Amino acid sequence: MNFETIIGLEVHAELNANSKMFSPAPATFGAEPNSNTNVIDWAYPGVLPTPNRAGIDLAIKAALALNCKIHQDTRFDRKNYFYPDNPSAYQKTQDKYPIGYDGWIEIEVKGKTKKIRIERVHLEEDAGKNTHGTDGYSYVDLNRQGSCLLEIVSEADMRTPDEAYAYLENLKQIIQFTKVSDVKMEEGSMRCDANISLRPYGQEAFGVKSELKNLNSFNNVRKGLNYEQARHEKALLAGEQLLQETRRFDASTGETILMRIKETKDDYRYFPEPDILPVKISDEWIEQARQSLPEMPKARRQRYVEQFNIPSYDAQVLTATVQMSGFFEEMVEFGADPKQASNWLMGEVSAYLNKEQIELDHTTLTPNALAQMIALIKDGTISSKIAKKVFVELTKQVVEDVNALVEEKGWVQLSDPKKLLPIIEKVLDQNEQSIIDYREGKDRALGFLVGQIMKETRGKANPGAVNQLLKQEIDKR
Amino acid sequence: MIDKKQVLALAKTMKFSLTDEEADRYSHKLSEIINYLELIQEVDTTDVTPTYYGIVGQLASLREDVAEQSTQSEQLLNNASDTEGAYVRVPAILNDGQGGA
Repeated sequence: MNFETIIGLEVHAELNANSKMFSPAPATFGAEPNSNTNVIDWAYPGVLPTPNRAGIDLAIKAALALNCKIHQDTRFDRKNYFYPDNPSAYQKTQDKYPIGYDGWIEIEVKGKTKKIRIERVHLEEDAGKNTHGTDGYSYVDLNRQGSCLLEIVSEADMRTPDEAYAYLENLKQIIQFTKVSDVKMEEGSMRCDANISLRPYGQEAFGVKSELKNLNSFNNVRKGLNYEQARHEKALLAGEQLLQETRRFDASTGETILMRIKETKDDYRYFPEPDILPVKISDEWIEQARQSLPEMPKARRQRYVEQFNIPSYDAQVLTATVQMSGFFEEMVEFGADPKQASNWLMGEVSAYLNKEQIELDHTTLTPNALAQMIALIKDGTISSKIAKKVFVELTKQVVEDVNALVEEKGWVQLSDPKKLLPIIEKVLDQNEQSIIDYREGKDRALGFLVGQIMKETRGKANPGAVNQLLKQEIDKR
Repeated sequence: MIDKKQVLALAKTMKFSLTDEEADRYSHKLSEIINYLELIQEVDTTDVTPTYYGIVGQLASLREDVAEQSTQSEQLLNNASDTEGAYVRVPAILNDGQGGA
């Protein structure tokens, strides 16, 4: 490769607020079209938008989590554009004084860590949603219009599509831990546009960039950037003059398609939003926001390794999502052995979530029930084989008392020698040849006898207890 | 001074279509306004705190995050120039990546 790739990403995240950014209309997802709207959202003349304190608070938290500085005298501006998803013909956003600026996050690609700088984190209102019909019309739902939206703009610090992917993963993880947004790309609460350009190594000036849209998953961001990187390289090597383009990623072909050529810079005619006075963010407000931030993934990983003595791989997997991490910590609080808790979460629980394609907090699983189950395995009440059956039950309904469930199902392991010995005696009486075989050093004979005992107890016997008692009884004969 | 070419470019951005005569007229009127602003700039503002809002130091009052269901949303929809079910119907939007947040 003769060229250096330059990538910058713009990420939008919908903030978890009850009401919209500048109007008190509900910000809930999935309501009847246009029902969550009021006069402000429809931009009626004379309405007075008022900023939502929670929107600003969530933006401060996100900015702090992304290591940004805070503009304590922050302001809103108008960005003018015409599109039916925004009746006011301008977006209330932040231009000169974004809430957060000069931040960074760390990414890791192929074992190397790298800092990606964040230019700005600003607050704005989301637009409505257009559905494009095939009948010559488009259909507009303004429910989303005015919702609290955060825009996170990176510096053009990424050099490969893999770095862009890692940046998105880390960004998502950090935002998710702060709980300011659900950051789900598939639900549209996280969206990403990518800018990419190539320049010969050693050249300082950036090459002509293209802007990619319709990137609806992290994988598609990487695929789209890979495609674009190859397209630019080919064009540059052929001596072609690239034009600044906006291109749409087509997931079905993995290619990017030209939407429009940008001949001139977009003229959004930003100016200070006259309807909204400046907002002062006090030192106390910033301090409160800082205090409320949870422990971030990286710190958690280190703590898990030190405090719970689990492998760093486990710690990595457990901190991938805030739900999993919280679930793990609660299990440990309920007395589960950390390594066992980790094994179950990484094994059965993850497999179940993948298979059903659901989120942990949408299941009937509870940290308490899983901790109880692990305790029952540890004290020999159930075998690990039976535990898998118990787990299936726990995914069907919320179980408060796992011990009661196990007893009700008759899954309690038989460990009591008083109950096991008569069965062992019976099996030994019936299989004298096996005793002889065992004495002659045929280990398989012992396995056969254990199998017979398990059969007699319909799988309920505790294999450890059976082994021990069986050897004792053979020695006695 | 704002010339006719600038007026036409601005009109295009703002989706106005101006006749040749209108473009001339607005070029003239807007130039007058700009000239007047230049006159204001002669005032010495050395010790005056800049503001966009007329009042120095006044801050936005913030709203608590309490959702209120408007009782007017149906009326608002009915006021739209064209609707289909619960949607506002507009001429097909070209998917050309223009606009949007």
